[in-house]
Amino acid sequence: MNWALLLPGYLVTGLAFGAFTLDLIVPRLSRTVLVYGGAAVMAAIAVFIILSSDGESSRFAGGILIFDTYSVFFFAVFVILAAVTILGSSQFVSAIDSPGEFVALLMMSAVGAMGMAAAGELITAYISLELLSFSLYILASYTWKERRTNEAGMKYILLGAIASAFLLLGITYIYGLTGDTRYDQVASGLSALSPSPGLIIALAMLTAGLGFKVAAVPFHMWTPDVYEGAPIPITAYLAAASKAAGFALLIRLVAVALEPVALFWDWVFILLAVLSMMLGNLVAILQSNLKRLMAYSSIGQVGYLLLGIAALGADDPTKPIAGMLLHSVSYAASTMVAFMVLLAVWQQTGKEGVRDMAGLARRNPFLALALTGALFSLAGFPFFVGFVSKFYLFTVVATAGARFLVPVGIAIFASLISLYYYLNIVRQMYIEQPEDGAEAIRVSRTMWLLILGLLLAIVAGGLYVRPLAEAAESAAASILAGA
Amino acid sequence: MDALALQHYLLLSAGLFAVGLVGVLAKRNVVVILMSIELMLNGVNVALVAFSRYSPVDELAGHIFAIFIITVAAAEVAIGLAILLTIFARRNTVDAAEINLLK
Repeated sequence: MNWALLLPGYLVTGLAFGAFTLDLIVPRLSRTVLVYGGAAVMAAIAVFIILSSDGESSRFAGGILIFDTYSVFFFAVFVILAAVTILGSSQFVSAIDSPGEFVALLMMSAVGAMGMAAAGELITAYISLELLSFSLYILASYTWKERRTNEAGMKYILLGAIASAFLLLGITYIYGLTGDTRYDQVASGLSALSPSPGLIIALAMLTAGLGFKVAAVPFHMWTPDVYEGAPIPITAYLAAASKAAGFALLIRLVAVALEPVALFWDWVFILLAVLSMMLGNLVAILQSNLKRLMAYSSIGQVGYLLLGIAALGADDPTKPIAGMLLHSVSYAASTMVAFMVLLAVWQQTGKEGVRDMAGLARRNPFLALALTGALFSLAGFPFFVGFVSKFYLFTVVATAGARFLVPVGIAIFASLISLYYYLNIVRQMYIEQPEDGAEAIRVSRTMWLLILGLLLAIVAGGLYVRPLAEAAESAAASILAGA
Repeated sequence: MDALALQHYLLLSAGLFAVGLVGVLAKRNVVVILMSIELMLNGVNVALVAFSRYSPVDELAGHIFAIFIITVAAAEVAIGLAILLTIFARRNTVDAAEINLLK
């Protein structure tokens, strides 16, 4: 066994335990050290992960974890997203009792997400998923003195546990049918089977369990409540990282293990995709709370990504995988910007409604500009990375087969609907007058730099996407080469 | 051994899972809901061990998975009860129908 492969995971885990221990030993730990130090080390780990990638595909312990370009791509994404969230919570952690624990749990959740991307075997995939979920259950109810927050945590863990039970039942039946839990063995077992009630139960349970984790309609009920109740940095992390992690697991599972049944099952993913994008975007119009609105908008984005999952049964699944990787990164970056702006406004005013954004352009032009950029990117406007990634994803799905033309048409229609409520927020910020007595919003220098950096990233990605697209394509190719 | 086949264990597993699911859907006390989720997971465990025992080759993954699930379920209940305690401290109720600020 080549233990050196586990180094990225060990580094992040070690950092998390370091933060836990520091929190115990030094009760009045300097938050500056914790937040800036933690984020800096995480960023350094991300750089290390990218630089030490040799483009080869290595299997750990007979393939329970697979370290290929795909894993490296997601490792870097998760570590960076955790670092961004830690940095964004710099002000938030001064209000909570044990900041070390908060930061450590974020790091542990990143380890879980990394495991989900690298898992090449069902037990490992499940344990990693639960490591991520359990950290998030605690984080989502972190400011538990607030009644909305502990209610969000309760709903999250109850529904999450039920979804896990369904997922486990699915995994168990897959194991029972194929006699193995490693993805490649599962695939060879499945290709020898003809569709049977047992197989349909297994696939339905797997889809329900994982559909919950990525918040696809009709398994999305928890999303708006948890997004609204959780502290804003955690809502941002849920929307960006936890969703990407769900897809990291789903893509490898469907592309490798379930490859023999992909064509048999793709209509289910098409159905979920269409339901998610229509319901998410339509219900988002009705929302007056921005966190709830972003929750429904994220459900809509999941719909676009699920189209890529449905297209995995096509002759060449490389392009749909690359499209999903690109879009999940572009979505994560754009949604991070939006939530960081919300966080900055909320920290000063304690308000998070759509109407509370009224006149933001006058109260802080920079924040208004950043939020506009993020929303345009989410809606898929040109010159933002959201346009390029959505265009790429829709094009590759549409060319995957004639049966995808109608769903892609619906996706484009759903994007138009989403413009309505995104532009409504922009209208509030630029055209509506600020409320009487509304003061200017001050932004700390850390937040300012963080938002500016992310904003530049989504603009740069929109103007010159080639490096990112090439990384996504080589990551996509590496999954299939290893299978 | 001959009297009991794989199907019997799968039936038991499906029964446990179904009883748990009914408990989750029908009960309003959050502690009982957490117990029902445990029951669902135990149903899964029975199926896993049975699949493992009856597999043609000497296959251990199912046994190991069952041990993992027991451990993970314990952690899950610990977190669930901790969150429930914070709710009970604020609202003095464990009734799921009364935990309804968010909608």
